[in-house]
Amino acid sequence: MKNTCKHIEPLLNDYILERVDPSTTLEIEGHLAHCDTCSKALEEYTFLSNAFSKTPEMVPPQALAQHFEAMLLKEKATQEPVISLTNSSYTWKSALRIAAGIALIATAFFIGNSLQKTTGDDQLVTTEKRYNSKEQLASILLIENRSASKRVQGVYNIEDFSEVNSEIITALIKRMNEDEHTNVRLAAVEALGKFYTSEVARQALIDALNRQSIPEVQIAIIQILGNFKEKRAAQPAQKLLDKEDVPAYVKDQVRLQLPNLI
Amino acid sequence: MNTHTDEQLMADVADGNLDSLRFLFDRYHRRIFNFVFQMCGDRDLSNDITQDVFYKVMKYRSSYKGGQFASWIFTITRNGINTHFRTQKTRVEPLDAMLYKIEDEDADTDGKENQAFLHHALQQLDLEDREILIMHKMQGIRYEELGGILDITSGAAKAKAYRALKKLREIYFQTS
Repeated sequence: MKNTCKHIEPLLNDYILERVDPSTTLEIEGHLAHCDTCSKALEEYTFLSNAFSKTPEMVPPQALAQHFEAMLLKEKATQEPVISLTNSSYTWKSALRIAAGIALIATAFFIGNSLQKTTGDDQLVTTEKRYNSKEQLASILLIENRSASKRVQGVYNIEDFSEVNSEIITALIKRMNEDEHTNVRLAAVEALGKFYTSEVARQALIDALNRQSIPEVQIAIIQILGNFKEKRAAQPAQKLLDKEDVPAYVKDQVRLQLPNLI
Repeated sequence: MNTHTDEQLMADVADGNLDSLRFLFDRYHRRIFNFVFQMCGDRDLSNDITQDVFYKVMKYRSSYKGGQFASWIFTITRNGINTHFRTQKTRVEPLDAMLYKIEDEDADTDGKENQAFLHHALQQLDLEDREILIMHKMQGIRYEELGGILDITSGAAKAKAYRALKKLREIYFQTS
Protein backbone atom coordinates (compact mmCIF):
# COMPACT_ATOMS: atom_id res chain seq x y z
CA MET A 1 0.00 0.00 0.00
CA LYS A 2 1.33 3.36 -1.03
CA ASN A 3 1.72 6.17 1.46
CA THR A 4 -1.07 8.12 -0.21
CA CYS A 5 -3.35 5.09 0.07
CA LYS A 6 -2.56 4.88 3.80
CA HIS A 7 -3.74 8.43 4.10
CA ILE A 8 -6.79 8.12 1.84
CA GLU A 9 -8.29 4.77 2.88
CA PRO A 10 -9.22 5.79 6.47
CA LEU A 11 -11.12 8.73 4.98
CA LEU A 12 -13.32 6.59 2.74
CA ASN A 13 -15.97 5.87 5.37
CA ASP A 14 -16.51 9.58 6.00
CA TYR A 15 -16.39 10.20 2.25
CA ILE A 16 -19.27 7.73 1.79
CA LEU A 17 -21.15 9.43 4.62
CA GLU A 18 -20.42 12.81 2.98
CA ARG A 19 -18.73 14.03 6.10
CA VAL A 20 -15.51 15.35 4.57
CA ASP A 21 -14.82 18.94 3.66
CA PRO A 22 -14.68 19.99 -0.04
CA SER A 23 -10.88 20.14 -0.23
CA THR A 24 -10.56 16.61 1.20
CA THR A 25 -13.26 15.44 -1.22
CA LEU A 26 -11.18 16.78 -4.11
CA GLU A 27 -8.08 15.11 -2.72
CA ILE A 28 -9.85 11.73 -2.34
CA GLU A 29 -11.41 11.89 -5.80
CA GLY A 30 -8.10 12.88 -7.35
CA HIS A 31 -6.50 9.83 -5.76
CA LEU A 32 -9.34 7.46 -6.64
CA ALA A 33 -9.08 8.42 -10.31
CA HIS A 34 -5.79 6.61 -10.65
CA CYS A 35 -5.73 4.10 -7.72
CA ASP A 36 -7.44 0.78 -8.31
CA THR A 37 -6.76 -0.46 -4.76
CA CYS A 38 -8.56 2.46 -3.13
CA SER A 39 -11.33 2.38 -5.74
CA LYS A 40 -11.94 -1.26 -4.85
CA ALA A 41 -11.87 -0.38 -1.15
CA LEU A 42 -14.41 2.39 -1.76
CA GLU A 43 -16.65 -0.04 -3.62
CA GLU A 44 -16.52 -2.55 -0.75
CA TYR A 45 -17.06 0.05 1.99
CA THR A 46 -20.02 1.39 0.03
CA PHE A 47 -21.41 -2.13 -0.24
CA LEU A 48 -21.09 -2.63 3.52
CA SER A 49 -22.61 0.77 4.24
CA ASN A 50 -25.63 -0.14 2.13
CA ALA A 51 -25.99 -3.49 3.87
CA PHE A 52 -25.85 -1.72 7.25
CA SER A 53 -28.42 0.84 6.25
CA LYS A 54 -30.79 -1.80 4.90
CA THR A 55 -30.85 -3.72 8.16
CA PRO A 56 -34.53 -3.69 9.12
CA GLU A 57 -35.49 -2.04 12.37
CA MET A 58 -37.10 -4.45 14.80
CA VAL A 59 -40.31 -3.47 16.53
CA PRO A 60 -39.96 -4.12 20.26
CA PRO A 61 -42.63 -6.33 21.84
CA GLN A 62 -45.60 -4.46 23.31
CA ALA A 63 -44.78 -5.91 26.70
CA LEU A 64 -41.76 -3.62 26.85
CA ALA A 65 -43.88 -0.47 27.06
CA GLN A 66 -46.33 -2.14 29.42
CA HIS A 67 -43.58 -3.22 31.80
CA PHE A 68 -42.07 0.22 31.65
CA GLU A 69 -45.39 1.83 32.59
CA ALA A 70 -45.93 -0.60 35.47
CA MET A 71 -42.39 -0.02 36.71
CA LEU A 72 -42.85 3.75 36.57
CA LEU A 73 -46.12 3.64 38.50
CA LYS A 74 -44.58 1.45 41.17
CA GLU A 75 -41.65 3.79 41.55
CA LYS A 76 -43.96 6.79 41.71
CA ALA A 77 -45.90 5.11 44.48
CA THR A 78 -42.78 4.63 46.55
CA GLN A 79 -41.89 8.24 45.88
CA GLU A 80 -44.94 9.43 47.84
CA PRO A 81 -44.11 10.60 51.37
CA VAL A 82 -43.89 7.69 53.78
CA ILE A 83 -46.80 7.62 56.17
CA SER A 84 -45.70 7.47 59.77
CA LEU A 85 -47.32 4.86 61.99
CA THR A 86 -48.39 7.32 64.66
CA ASN A 87 -50.69 9.38 62.50
CA SER A 88 -50.83 7.25 59.42
CA SER A 89 -54.58 7.11 59.12
CA TYR A 90 -55.10 10.73 58.24
CA THR A 91 -51.83 12.17 57.00
CA TRP A 92 -52.66 11.74 53.34
CA LYS A 93 -56.13 13.08 53.77
CA SER A 94 -54.99 16.34 55.27
CA ALA A 95 -52.63 16.87 52.37
CA LEU A 96 -55.08 15.89 49.74
CA ARG A 97 -58.44 17.07 50.70
CA ILE A 98 -58.97 20.50 52.01
CA ALA A 99 -62.56 20.11 51.02
CA ALA A 100 -62.73 16.79 52.84
CA GLY A 101 -64.38 18.23 55.91
CA ILE A 102 -67.52 19.06 54.01
CA ALA A 103 -67.47 15.80 52.13
CA LEU A 104 -66.94 13.75 55.29
CA ILE A 105 -69.87 15.40 57.03
CA ALA A 106 -71.94 14.78 53.93
CA THR A 107 -70.71 11.19 53.88
CA ALA A 108 -71.60 10.60 57.52
CA PHE A 109 -75.03 12.10 56.96
CA PHE A 110 -75.54 10.10 53.84
CA ILE A 111 -74.45 6.86 55.45
CA GLY A 112 -76.64 7.47 58.48
CA ASN A 113 -79.54 7.99 56.18
CA SER A 114 -78.81 5.20 53.81
CA LEU A 115 -78.18 2.57 56.48
CA GLN A 116 -81.84 2.77 57.31
CA LYS A 117 -82.76 1.98 53.76
CA THR A 118 -82.38 -1.20 51.87
CA THR A 119 -79.31 -1.08 49.74
CA GLY A 120 -78.84 -1.40 46.00
CA ASP A 121 -78.00 0.58 42.93
CA ASP A 122 -81.57 0.94 41.82
CA GLN A 123 -82.54 2.59 45.06
CA LEU A 124 -79.58 4.85 44.81
CA VAL A 125 -80.86 6.42 41.65
CA THR A 126 -84.47 6.63 42.70
CA THR A 127 -84.16 8.39 46.03
CA GLU A 128 -86.13 11.53 46.64
CA LYS A 129 -83.64 13.86 44.93
CA ARG A 130 -83.66 13.45 41.19
CA TYR A 131 -80.22 13.50 39.78
CA ASN A 132 -79.34 16.03 37.20
CA SER A 133 -78.08 13.93 34.29
CA LYS A 134 -76.46 16.91 32.57
CA GLU A 135 -74.33 17.71 35.59
CA GLN A 136 -73.38 14.09 36.00
CA LEU A 137 -72.43 13.83 32.36
CA ALA A 138 -70.27 16.95 32.77
CA SER A 139 -68.60 15.34 35.77
CA ILE A 140 -67.89 12.16 33.86
CA LEU A 141 -66.28 14.25 31.15
CA LEU A 142 -64.26 16.10 33.78
CA ILE A 143 -62.91 12.94 35.40
CA GLU A 144 -61.75 11.74 32.00
CA ASN A 145 -59.85 15.00 31.46
CA ARG A 146 -56.14 14.88 30.61
CA SER A 147 -55.27 17.12 33.52
CA ALA A 148 -54.96 15.25 36.83
CA SER A 149 -56.13 18.25 38.87
CA LYS A 150 -59.28 18.49 36.73
CA ARG A 151 -59.90 14.79 37.26
CA VAL A 152 -59.63 15.27 41.03
CA GLN A 153 -62.01 18.21 40.75
CA GLY A 154 -64.40 16.03 38.74
CA VAL A 155 -64.35 13.36 41.45
CA TYR A 156 -65.03 16.00 44.13
CA ASN A 157 -67.95 17.32 42.09
CA ILE A 158 -69.42 13.83 41.99
CA GLU A 159 -69.17 13.60 45.76
CA ASP A 160 -71.56 16.56 45.94
CA PHE A 161 -74.29 14.57 44.24
CA SER A 162 -76.61 12.91 46.65
CA GLU A 163 -77.31 10.13 44.20
CA VAL A 164 -75.52 8.87 41.13
CA ASN A 165 -76.18 6.56 38.24
CA SER A 166 -74.26 3.39 37.51
CA GLU A 167 -72.29 5.13 34.78
CA ILE A 168 -70.73 7.43 37.37
CA ILE A 169 -69.94 4.52 39.66
CA THR A 170 -68.22 2.74 36.76
CA ALA A 171 -66.24 5.89 35.91
CA LEU A 172 -65.14 6.22 39.56
CA ILE A 173 -64.06 2.59 39.67
CA LYS A 174 -62.01 3.14 36.53
CA ARG A 175 -60.31 6.16 38.13
CA MET A 176 -59.60 4.20 41.30
CA ASN A 177 -58.08 1.28 39.45
CA GLU A 178 -56.41 2.85 36.46
CA ASP A 179 -55.59 6.51 36.98
CA GLU A 180 -51.91 7.29 36.70
CA HIS A 181 -52.08 9.78 39.59
CA THR A 182 -52.31 8.60 43.17
CA ASN A 183 -54.30 11.70 44.12
CA VAL A 184 -57.02 10.91 41.61
CA ARG A 185 -57.15 7.30 42.77
CA LEU A 186 -57.45 8.41 46.40
CA ALA A 187 -60.24 10.86 45.58
CA ALA A 188 -62.05 8.09 43.67
CA VAL A 189 -61.71 5.68 46.61
CA GLU A 190 -63.18 8.32 48.89
CA ALA A 191 -66.04 8.99 46.50
CA LEU A 192 -66.81 5.29 46.17
CA GLY A 193 -66.85 5.16 49.95
CA LYS A 194 -69.49 7.83 49.91
CA PHE A 195 -71.64 5.77 47.58
CA TYR A 196 -71.13 2.67 49.65
CA THR A 197 -74.80 1.73 49.45
CA SER A 198 -74.10 0.78 45.85
CA GLU A 199 -73.29 -2.90 45.74
CA VAL A 200 -71.14 -2.26 42.66
CA ALA A 201 -69.08 0.37 44.50
CA ARG A 202 -68.74 -1.91 47.54
CA GLN A 203 -67.63 -4.89 45.50
CA ALA A 204 -65.16 -2.73 43.55
CA LEU A 205 -63.57 -1.52 46.80
CA ILE A 206 -63.26 -5.09 48.08
CA ASP A 207 -61.76 -6.25 44.78
CA ALA A 208 -59.38 -3.29 44.66
CA LEU A 209 -57.81 -4.24 47.96
CA ASN A 210 -55.59 -6.80 46.30
CA ARG A 211 -55.56 -5.20 42.91
CA GLN A 212 -54.00 -1.94 44.04
CA SER A 213 -50.26 -1.73 44.54
CA ILE A 214 -50.03 1.90 45.67
CA PRO A 215 -49.67 1.87 49.46
CA GLU A 216 -51.68 5.07 50.06
CA VAL A 217 -54.58 3.72 48.04
CA GLN A 218 -54.45 0.38 49.84
CA ILE A 219 -54.62 2.22 53.18
CA ALA A 220 -57.54 4.39 52.06
CA ILE A 221 -59.49 1.33 50.93
CA ILE A 222 -58.86 -0.73 54.06
CA GLN A 223 -59.98 2.19 56.21
CA ILE A 224 -63.25 2.55 54.35
CA LEU A 225 -63.91 -1.18 54.44
CA GLY A 226 -63.07 -1.18 58.16
CA ASN A 227 -65.43 1.74 58.83
CA PHE A 228 -68.25 -0.11 57.15
CA LYS A 229 -67.33 -3.36 58.89
CA GLU A 230 -67.29 -5.09 55.53
CA LYS A 231 -67.07 -8.80 56.39
CA ARG A 232 -66.40 -9.83 52.80
CA ALA A 233 -63.14 -7.88 52.96
CA ALA A 234 -61.66 -10.09 55.69
CA GLN A 235 -60.24 -12.64 53.26
CA PRO A 236 -58.67 -10.15 50.82
CA ALA A 237 -57.28 -8.21 53.79
CA GLN A 238 -55.70 -11.39 55.14
CA LYS A 239 -54.26 -12.02 51.68
CA LEU A 240 -52.71 -8.55 51.73
CA LEU A 241 -50.94 -9.42 54.98
CA ASP A 242 -49.40 -12.47 53.34
CA LYS A 243 -47.99 -10.53 50.42
CA GLU A 244 -44.28 -9.87 50.61
CA ASP A 245 -44.27 -6.69 48.55
CA VAL A 246 -46.84 -4.88 50.71
CA PRO A 247 -45.07 -2.29 52.88
CA ALA A 248 -45.11 -2.80 56.66
CA TYR A 249 -47.03 0.42 57.30
CA VAL A 250 -49.85 -0.79 55.05
CA LYS A 251 -49.92 -4.12 56.89
CA ASP A 252 -50.14 -2.22 60.19
CA GLN A 253 -53.25 -0.49 58.91
CA VAL A 254 -54.71 -3.79 57.75
CA ARG A 255 -54.10 -5.33 61.20
CA LEU A 256 -55.71 -2.28 62.77
CA GLN A 257 -58.86 -2.72 60.70
CA LEU A 258 -58.99 -6.51 60.71
CA PRO A 259 -61.06 -6.73 63.95
CA ASN A 260 -63.75 -4.65 62.19
CA LEU A 261 -63.86 -7.08 59.28
CA ILE A 262 -64.34 -10.37 61.14
CA MET B 1 -42.36 18.63 27.43
CA ASN B 2 -41.96 16.92 24.13
CA THR B 3 -39.92 19.85 22.84
CA HIS B 4 -37.41 19.57 25.68
CA THR B 5 -33.97 18.17 24.99
CA ASP B 6 -33.07 14.73 26.31
CA GLU B 7 -30.82 16.39 28.85
CA GLN B 8 -33.58 18.71 30.13
CA LEU B 9 -35.94 15.76 30.47
CA MET B 10 -33.38 13.65 32.30
CA ALA B 11 -32.54 16.53 34.65
CA ASP B 12 -36.25 16.73 35.36
CA VAL B 13 -36.35 12.99 36.10
CA ALA B 14 -33.31 13.35 38.36
CA ASP B 15 -35.26 16.06 40.24
CA GLY B 16 -37.96 13.52 40.94
CA ASN B 17 -40.41 14.22 38.12
CA LEU B 18 -40.71 10.64 36.92
CA ASP B 19 -43.35 11.48 34.31
CA SER B 20 -40.63 13.01 32.13
CA LEU B 21 -39.11 9.56 31.81
CA ARG B 22 -42.02 8.60 29.54
CA PHE B 23 -40.75 11.00 26.87
CA LEU B 24 -37.26 9.56 27.09
CA PHE B 25 -38.66 6.05 26.88
CA ASP B 26 -40.59 7.03 23.75
CA ARG B 27 -37.48 8.51 22.17
CA TYR B 28 -35.03 5.78 23.05
CA HIS B 29 -36.60 2.38 23.63
CA ARG B 30 -36.58 1.37 19.95
CA ARG B 31 -32.99 2.44 19.50
CA ILE B 32 -31.83 0.63 22.60
CA PHE B 33 -33.86 -2.47 21.76
CA ASN B 34 -32.41 -2.60 18.23
CA PHE B 35 -28.87 -1.99 19.43
CA VAL B 36 -29.14 -4.85 21.92
CA PHE B 37 -30.82 -7.07 19.32
CA GLN B 38 -28.00 -6.49 16.84
CA MET B 39 -25.50 -7.32 19.57
CA CYS B 40 -27.12 -10.49 20.87
CA GLY B 41 -29.54 -11.62 18.16
CA ASP B 42 -32.17 -12.68 20.68
CA ARG B 43 -35.50 -10.88 20.84
CA ASP B 44 -36.47 -11.94 24.37
CA LEU B 45 -33.07 -11.13 25.75
CA SER B 46 -33.17 -7.74 24.00
CA ASN B 47 -36.51 -7.08 25.65
CA ASP B 48 -35.10 -7.99 29.08
CA ILE B 49 -31.95 -5.93 28.70
CA THR B 50 -33.85 -2.88 27.37
CA GLN B 51 -36.26 -3.14 30.28
CA ASP B 52 -33.36 -3.31 32.68
CA VAL B 53 -31.73 -0.27 31.05
CA PHE B 54 -34.80 1.89 31.76
CA TYR B 55 -35.07 0.45 35.25
CA LYS B 56 -31.49 1.56 35.88
CA VAL B 57 -32.10 5.00 34.35
CA MET B 58 -35.01 5.39 36.78
CA LYS B 59 -33.31 3.93 39.84
CA TYR B 60 -30.00 5.70 39.39
CA ARG B 61 -31.55 8.95 38.17
CA SER B 62 -29.81 10.97 40.86
CA SER B 63 -26.43 9.85 39.52
CA TYR B 64 -27.12 11.64 36.21
CA LYS B 65 -24.86 14.67 36.29
CA GLY B 66 -26.00 16.51 33.20
CA GLY B 67 -23.82 15.03 30.44
CA GLN B 68 -25.16 13.88 27.09
CA PHE B 69 -28.13 11.67 27.81
CA ALA B 70 -27.53 9.45 24.75
CA SER B 71 -24.00 8.70 25.95
CA TRP B 72 -25.27 7.92 29.42
CA ILE B 73 -28.03 5.54 28.34
CA PHE B 74 -25.79 3.77 25.82
CA THR B 75 -23.15 3.33 28.51
CA ILE B 76 -25.77 1.72 30.74
CA THR B 77 -26.85 -0.47 27.82
CA ARG B 78 -23.30 -1.56 27.01
CA ASN B 79 -22.73 -2.46 30.64
CA GLY B 80 -25.93 -4.51 30.58
CA ILE B 81 -24.84 -6.37 27.45
CA ASN B 82 -21.32 -6.96 28.78
CA THR B 83 -22.66 -8.25 32.08
CA HIS B 84 -24.88 -10.65 30.18
CA PHE B 85 -22.05 -11.96 28.03
CA ARG B 86 -19.74 -12.22 31.04
CA THR B 87 -22.19 -14.10 33.22
CA GLN B 88 -23.80 -16.27 30.57
CA LYS B 89 -20.64 -16.98 28.63
CA THR B 90 -22.84 -17.34 25.58
CA ARG B 91 -21.80 -16.68 22.09
CA VAL B 92 -23.86 -14.49 19.86
CA GLU B 93 -26.53 -16.55 18.20
CA PRO B 94 -27.64 -16.00 14.64
CA LEU B 95 -30.26 -13.27 14.46
CA ASP B 96 -33.78 -14.50 14.94
CA ALA B 97 -35.20 -15.77 11.72
CA MET B 98 -37.85 -13.18 12.37
CA LEU B 99 -35.48 -10.43 11.33
CA TYR B 100 -35.65 -11.59 7.78
CA LYS B 101 -39.30 -12.54 7.87
CA ILE B 102 -40.41 -9.06 8.78
CA GLU B 103 -39.11 -7.69 5.53
CA ASP B 104 -41.48 -7.15 2.66
CA GLU B 105 -42.24 -10.31 0.85
CA ASP B 106 -41.11 -8.79 -2.42
CA ALA B 107 -37.84 -7.56 -0.93
CA ASP B 108 -34.90 -8.73 -2.97
CA THR B 109 -33.32 -11.99 -1.95
CA ASP B 110 -29.83 -10.56 -2.52
CA GLY B 111 -30.50 -7.88 0.09
CA LYS B 112 -31.55 -10.49 2.64
CA GLU B 113 -28.49 -12.56 1.86
CA ASN B 114 -26.21 -9.56 2.20
CA GLN B 115 -27.63 -8.82 5.62
CA ALA B 116 -27.26 -12.41 6.71
CA PHE B 117 -23.60 -12.34 5.57
CA LEU B 118 -23.12 -9.00 7.27
CA HIS B 119 -24.40 -10.35 10.56
CA HIS B 120 -22.26 -13.43 10.19
CA ALA B 121 -19.19 -11.26 9.56
CA LEU B 122 -20.05 -9.01 12.51
CA GLN B 123 -20.21 -12.03 14.77
CA GLN B 124 -16.62 -12.80 14.00
CA LEU B 125 -15.47 -9.45 15.33
CA ASP B 126 -14.76 -9.04 19.00
CA LEU B 127 -17.42 -7.40 21.18
CA GLU B 128 -15.72 -4.00 21.16
CA ASP B 129 -15.43 -3.79 17.36
CA ARG B 130 -18.92 -5.12 16.86
CA GLU B 131 -20.55 -2.63 19.19
CA ILE B 132 -18.78 0.36 17.69
CA LEU B 133 -19.89 -0.63 14.19
CA ILE B 134 -23.47 -1.27 15.24
CA MET B 135 -23.62 2.09 17.01
CA HIS B 136 -21.89 3.98 14.23
CA LYS B 137 -23.13 2.29 11.07
CA MET B 138 -26.54 0.97 12.09
CA GLN B 139 -27.58 3.52 14.68
CA GLY B 140 -25.90 6.44 12.94
CA ILE B 141 -24.18 7.65 16.09
CA ARG B 142 -21.60 10.31 15.26
CA TYR B 143 -17.99 10.28 16.43
CA GLU B 144 -18.47 12.91 19.19
CA GLU B 145 -21.31 10.94 20.72
CA LEU B 146 -19.40 7.66 20.27
CA GLY B 147 -16.48 9.25 22.09
CA GLY B 148 -18.82 10.17 24.93
CA ILE B 149 -20.20 6.65 25.14
CA LEU B 150 -16.79 4.99 24.99
CA ASP B 151 -15.17 7.63 27.18
CA ILE B 152 -12.56 8.50 24.57
CA THR B 153 -12.01 11.51 22.30
CA SER B 154 -14.00 11.81 19.08
CA GLY B 155 -10.72 11.38 17.15
CA ALA B 156 -10.04 8.11 18.95
CA ALA B 157 -13.63 6.99 18.29
CA LYS B 158 -13.16 7.72 14.59
CA ALA B 159 -9.93 5.71 14.51
CA LYS B 160 -11.54 2.79 16.35
CA ALA B 161 -14.55 2.82 14.01
CA TYR B 162 -12.26 2.79 11.00
CA ARG B 163 -10.18 -0.12 12.34
CA ALA B 164 -13.33 -2.11 13.11
CA LEU B 165 -14.75 -1.39 9.66
CA LYS B 166 -11.51 -2.43 8.05
CA LYS B 167 -11.57 -5.74 9.95
CA LEU B 168 -15.17 -6.27 8.90
CA ARG B 169 -14.31 -5.61 5.28
CA GLU B 170 -11.48 -8.11 5.46
CA ILE B 171 -13.76 -10.76 6.93
CA TYR B 172 -16.62 -10.03 4.57
CA PHE B 173 -14.58 -9.92 1.37
CA GLN B 174 -11.72 -12.11 2.62
CA THR B 175 -9.27 -9.48 1.46
CA SER B 176 -6.69 -9.65 4.24
